[in-house]
Amino acid sequence: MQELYKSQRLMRQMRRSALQRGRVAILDVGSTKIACMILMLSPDLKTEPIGVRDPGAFHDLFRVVGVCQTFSRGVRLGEIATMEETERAVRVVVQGAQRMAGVSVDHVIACFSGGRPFSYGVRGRAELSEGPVNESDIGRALAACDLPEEDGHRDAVHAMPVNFSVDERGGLTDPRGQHGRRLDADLHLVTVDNSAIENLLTCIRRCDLNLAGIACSSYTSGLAALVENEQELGSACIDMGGGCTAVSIFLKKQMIYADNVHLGGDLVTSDISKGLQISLDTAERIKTLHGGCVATGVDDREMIDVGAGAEEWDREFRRISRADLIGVIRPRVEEVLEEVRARMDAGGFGHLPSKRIVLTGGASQIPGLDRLAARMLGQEIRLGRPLRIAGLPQAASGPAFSACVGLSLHTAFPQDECWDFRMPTYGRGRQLGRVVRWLREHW
Amino acid sequence: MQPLNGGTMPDPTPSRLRYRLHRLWLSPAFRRLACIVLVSAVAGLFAANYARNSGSTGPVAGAVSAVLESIVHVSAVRVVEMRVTGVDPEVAARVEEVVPFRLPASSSELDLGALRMRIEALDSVSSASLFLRANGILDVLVVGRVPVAVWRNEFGLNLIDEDGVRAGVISSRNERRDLPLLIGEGVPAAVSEARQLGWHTRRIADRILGFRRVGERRWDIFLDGGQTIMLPESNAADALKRIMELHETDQLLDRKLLFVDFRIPERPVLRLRLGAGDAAEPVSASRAVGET
Repeated sequence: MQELYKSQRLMRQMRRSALQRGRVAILDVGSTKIACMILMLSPDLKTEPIGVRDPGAFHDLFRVVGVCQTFSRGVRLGEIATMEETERAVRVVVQGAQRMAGVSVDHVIACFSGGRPFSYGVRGRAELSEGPVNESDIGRALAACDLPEEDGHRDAVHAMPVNFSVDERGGLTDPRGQHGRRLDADLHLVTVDNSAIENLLTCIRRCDLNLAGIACSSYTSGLAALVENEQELGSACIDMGGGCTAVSIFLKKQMIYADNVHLGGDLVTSDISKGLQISLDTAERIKTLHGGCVATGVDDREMIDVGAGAEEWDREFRRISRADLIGVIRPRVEEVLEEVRARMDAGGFGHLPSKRIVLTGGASQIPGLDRLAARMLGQEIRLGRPLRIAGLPQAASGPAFSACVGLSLHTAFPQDECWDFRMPTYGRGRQLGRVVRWLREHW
Repeated sequence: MQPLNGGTMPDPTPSRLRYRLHRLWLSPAFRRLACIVLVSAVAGLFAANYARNSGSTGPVAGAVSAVLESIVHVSAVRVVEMRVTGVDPEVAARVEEVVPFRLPASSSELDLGALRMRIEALDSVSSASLFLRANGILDVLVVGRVPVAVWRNEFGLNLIDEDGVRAGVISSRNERRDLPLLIGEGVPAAVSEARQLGWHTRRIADRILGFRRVGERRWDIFLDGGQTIMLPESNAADALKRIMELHETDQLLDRKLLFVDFRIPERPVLRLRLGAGDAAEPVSASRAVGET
């Protein structure tokens, strides 16, 4: 617990020092695209009240001044596969965003979906001696949280106190000043392989940048795509990217579950390429232009030209019907959604009071996906686009940029304020428990 | 249509050097420094060019001098009046004419040395001293030249002083009847000698028409009635003294002589007027009188 506290506090200090410079770069390392946004932060961001997070106050406090994106090269399934290629791609986007912004940045906050993120809910308890709860009591409760057994190759990316309860009175965001005999703290922990973090860190360092923070893209896309009510009442955010699909569950404005499915839109493209015997480029093109998930009668008559590319001059000129295309796309999408469904069930989605699902990410733009997902996941479903933030260009406001926008929100309004509390040097009274179980009991 | 090279785009990745230079250029401190260096270099270039182009310094210098003038004119170092002393009003007016500036003027602008040279360049001024007095008065102390003779040369009638320096110009001999008339070459060098001769002949001054320098070595004295006294090169005064003695004793010059030739004092020659031999009386028994 001490290690976690120190690392979280270090990350917090790094992010603070980056924010004090007034500008910071947001880097989304995805499997299909790498995007960089440069944020100009207003000096009012210095004050971070604990537990108070008002999304309505976003708009004046930071501004996007530069955006650039490029094809991702060297990233596979959300993890860096080729260091050199990834470094070059990062250079491209950082330089493009700097050119658009007219300023240079030194600090980068990155989000990525790789590294096999695992989500844990842990609980810690501290006995209160007398008087109201103060900060050292919170520190003791957090210190009492029992960490899952690790093999030493995993690092905590997110560790957020999602809930405090004083004497069985739960659902408290800020327990300071309350009277009671016992303080329980529920901590949501997301860990990833530290080799993935090390690789990303190396790439960013080789671009002369400092990594000032790291986030899980499932968390950040949930921050951007879910509206306030959905975060409060319990929703799942499914960010369907190219390489992998990120799942996150939010309740009471806190993320309580995050996971990652290694299936994405690129699989659909390769299925089309294989199934229809066409090149990958053509497959990507006709998927984007003509793809769909739900076939109707008119799709049998709508013919699509394939095989007319310059490199396929020796092949015969072929046409396929849109129904054929949908017949290739749909099973793969169903497979992705089934896997997502399994992860959501593991995360306790069925126990949420409001079972809303928000689909976002680049692959969520397939027509008919919402109808297919409604049949498979649940009726309350919608396609989500990221929140509008100041200065975001229209080209970067599509669902593919949910993780980027959410990361900028997370940068400006982090949710890990409790790590600023003083941590006691001792830790006792360990108790392991899952947050979702706690929520099930107390809701 | 797809491009024939297989659709490969050029790599958009900037090289690491370009990437770093771009970042360096975007950093505000470096950019400020670069701007300062660039602007100062350009300004220095322009200033050097401007300074080298001497024609264009005129407006600047004019403005500077105008400012200086305004400063100087309101201060106490002004010359409001010039007083010329030591000469008669006519010469004083001439002196005031040659002053190259208009009063009142700033004393810092006055070049007293040049002014003195200009004043001394006047004919009638021998020397001048300039003093700047306290309450804005410029005192010019002029020592004028005293004309002692009238010298007629090919340019006209000039007044010359003791040293043979021109002291003025007259248009007519009648203006200075009181001064002897000198003609001939080399007169200025022998003015004092001419004055000496003039002093010796002061009793017959009303009869003298003029003195003529002959060959820059000796004098002739022309008298009215066409008589000419020819004096030797050396000891002309002694010879003249003897002639005057003869005139006083024997009325030499009243006789019908044309030339009194004392060019060789030991052998004086008197040339008679034509047809005067009968009436001529012996000049002196002690002298040999040659006949022409």
